[in-house]
Amino acid sequence: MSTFSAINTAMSGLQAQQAALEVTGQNVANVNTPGYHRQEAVLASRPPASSAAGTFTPFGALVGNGVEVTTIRRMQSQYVQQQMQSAQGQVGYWTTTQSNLQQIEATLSPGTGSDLSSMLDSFFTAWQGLASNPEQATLSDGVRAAGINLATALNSAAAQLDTASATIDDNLVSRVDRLNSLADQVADLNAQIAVAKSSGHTANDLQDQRATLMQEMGTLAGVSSLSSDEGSSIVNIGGRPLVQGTEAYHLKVAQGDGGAQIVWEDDGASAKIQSGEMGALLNVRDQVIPGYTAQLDGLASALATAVNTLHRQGMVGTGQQAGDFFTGTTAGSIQVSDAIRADASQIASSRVTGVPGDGGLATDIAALSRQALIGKLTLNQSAQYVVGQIGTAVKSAKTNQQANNAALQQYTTQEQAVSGVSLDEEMANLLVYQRAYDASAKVVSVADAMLQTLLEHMG
Amino acid sequence: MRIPDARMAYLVGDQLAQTSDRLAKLQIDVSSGVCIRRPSDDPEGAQRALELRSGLARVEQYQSTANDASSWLKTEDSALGSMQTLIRQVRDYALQGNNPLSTESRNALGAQIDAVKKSLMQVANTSDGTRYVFGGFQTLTPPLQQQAGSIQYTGDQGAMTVMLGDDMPMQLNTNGAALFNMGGAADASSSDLFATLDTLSQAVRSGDQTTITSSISDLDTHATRIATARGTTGIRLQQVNLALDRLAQSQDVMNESLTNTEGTDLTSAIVELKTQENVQQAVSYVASNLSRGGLLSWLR
Repeated sequence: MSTFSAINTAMSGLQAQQAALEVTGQNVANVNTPGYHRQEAVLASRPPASSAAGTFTPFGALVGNGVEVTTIRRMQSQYVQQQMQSAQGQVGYWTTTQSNLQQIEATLSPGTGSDLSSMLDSFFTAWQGLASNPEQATLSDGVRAAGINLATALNSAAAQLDTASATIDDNLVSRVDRLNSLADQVADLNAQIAVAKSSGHTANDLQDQRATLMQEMGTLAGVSSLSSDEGSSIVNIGGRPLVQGTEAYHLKVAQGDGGAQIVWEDDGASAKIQSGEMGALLNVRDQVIPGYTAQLDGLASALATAVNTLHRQGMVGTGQQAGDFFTGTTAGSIQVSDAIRADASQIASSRVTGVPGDGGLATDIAALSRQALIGKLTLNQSAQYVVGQIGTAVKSAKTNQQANNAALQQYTTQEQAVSGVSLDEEMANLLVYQRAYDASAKVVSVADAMLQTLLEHMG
Repeated sequence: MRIPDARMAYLVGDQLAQTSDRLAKLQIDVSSGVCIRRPSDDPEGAQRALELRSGLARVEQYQSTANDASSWLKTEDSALGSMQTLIRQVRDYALQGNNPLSTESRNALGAQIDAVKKSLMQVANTSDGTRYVFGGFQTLTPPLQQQAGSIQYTGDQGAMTVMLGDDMPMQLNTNGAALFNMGGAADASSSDLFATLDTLSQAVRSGDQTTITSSISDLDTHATRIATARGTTGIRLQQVNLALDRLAQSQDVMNESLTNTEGTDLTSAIVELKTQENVQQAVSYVASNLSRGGLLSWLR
């Protein structure tokens, strides 16, 4: 009878509006949940049942059978999400690069008076002082002390760069572990989502979790990913899959010549990671630090060679040929020679013996500070250039980080525009669904009254 | 475009954080007076500051060298002055000796000449406190010593060079051998000052006028040599003083450059600080107004 079907139709209205209200409640409850994607109840009208069920109107037209919630849609924008992911990789890359470069900056520019340029100045001015007063033993002590300070400064800088490299190796190990764990979790979620979808349920919350994990993977290693409509996803890194459906492939750390190398666990091939935090760590360890180490070594080598060549021409004591001033030719190994450290009178200021007032050799050694010993640069200019370089590198890392972060924020705002919860909107929806519920309830009571009338007046 | 609530809160919070960040940097700039604290604050400026510091260190060293040289040259100058006075005295004695005198007077004059000779030797062995100035490179031993009955020069021919600036060498010392013609260093055909004095002393005692006259002319040659040396020393002292002036000027210029490079321009920094403070207040105001309004507060 059409009255009962009217009640059925109204009932479906009540149920649908109630479901929609529950979805609104879910959205409101999760307004501040990070990674939550707003959900929407998709209402569709139920098509008319077959005429055998007994619904007819005078003109043979069929009336629909009410409303139903066909699905609870998760609002997302795949396109913007993918742009976000690559921006995340870049932001992770530049943030990590900036912080590591800042550490190196502190190493190479320790503070006024302690940097290499000042140490070089003190060294050569000590020689100049000795040259004008070679008879004074305290001035020889001064030269020795300045030489030791300079060598120590070079040693310390080289050692700190080595330590930075070693720390990066440690960081890489912990990040690889994290990445593997994330890959496992994503593969697991893929399996759960597939099961849910195949039995016709929605898996919105699982998908939210998966999206958050994939974002973290993007920041870590700049992965690229693809999610399919059946709910599965692929996560790629350097062209090879990290997660493929329900399979997760692991990376591992292999100790090599240049420090820890990241390879695929199953075949040991090296992983191409060029973005994200891990990409940044690899770049700093393999390109940036060796670059500065090489410059410092070049400085130490030029210094030692030039000073020694001149110093060996000198005479000390009662007619002995002077030895080397510095031993070692790298920044890490350069030292004032043992003989001189034990006895400052082994420092030669003259090429001839028995002439206490002759500081000619010392003058020549002091003049080395003005000679182009490294390409076209003097030793000081080379040390100053290193400082300028690291300053520029940090500054440009900062700029890149800010630019990429600005882009990421733009994408995030766009993505949130689609998937974020707006309380105003949800409040309006509450009103709408509540009214609709009231109206459907009214339909039920009116249909009931009509039924009542029918029963009273026909029985 | 919809801006959901959580996103709005994040964006405003982010703005607040950035403003605070800028404010903090400006505050440290103003309070420390230095706006380059790390190379990345201003890479070119940091490099320039290092260059300037290096230049200042070199200037300081040259100043120290110049001051030492000045003290040395003043020692030489005063010694040479004393020598000129002593030689004039001897000349007087010699002239007196040319007159007819008694034997006692002659002997007395001769003794005085001997005394002056001793004084001259002492003056020639002047040191500037730690080093003998007239001995070339042999600065640790007195250049004139009594050996086998005569005075010998035990120094060497070393010429000391001091650097008054980059590539600005100057010869410092006056050589004792050339000064007194020891061993014929200045003029092989005549004798050294002390031999001349010995000859003069003998001649005065014996009243040998010819010898006295020729000795006086030798003495004049020695005096001229010493006067010339004193003139050279005077010129060197001038050079050193000029160098010191130049170095002081360089120092001033470089210090000013250094302040301009890495020092904070207080006026503009404070203006910017005030502006940033206003911005922060404005952003805070906006943030505080976020929580009001919205449909929720209008519904029953």
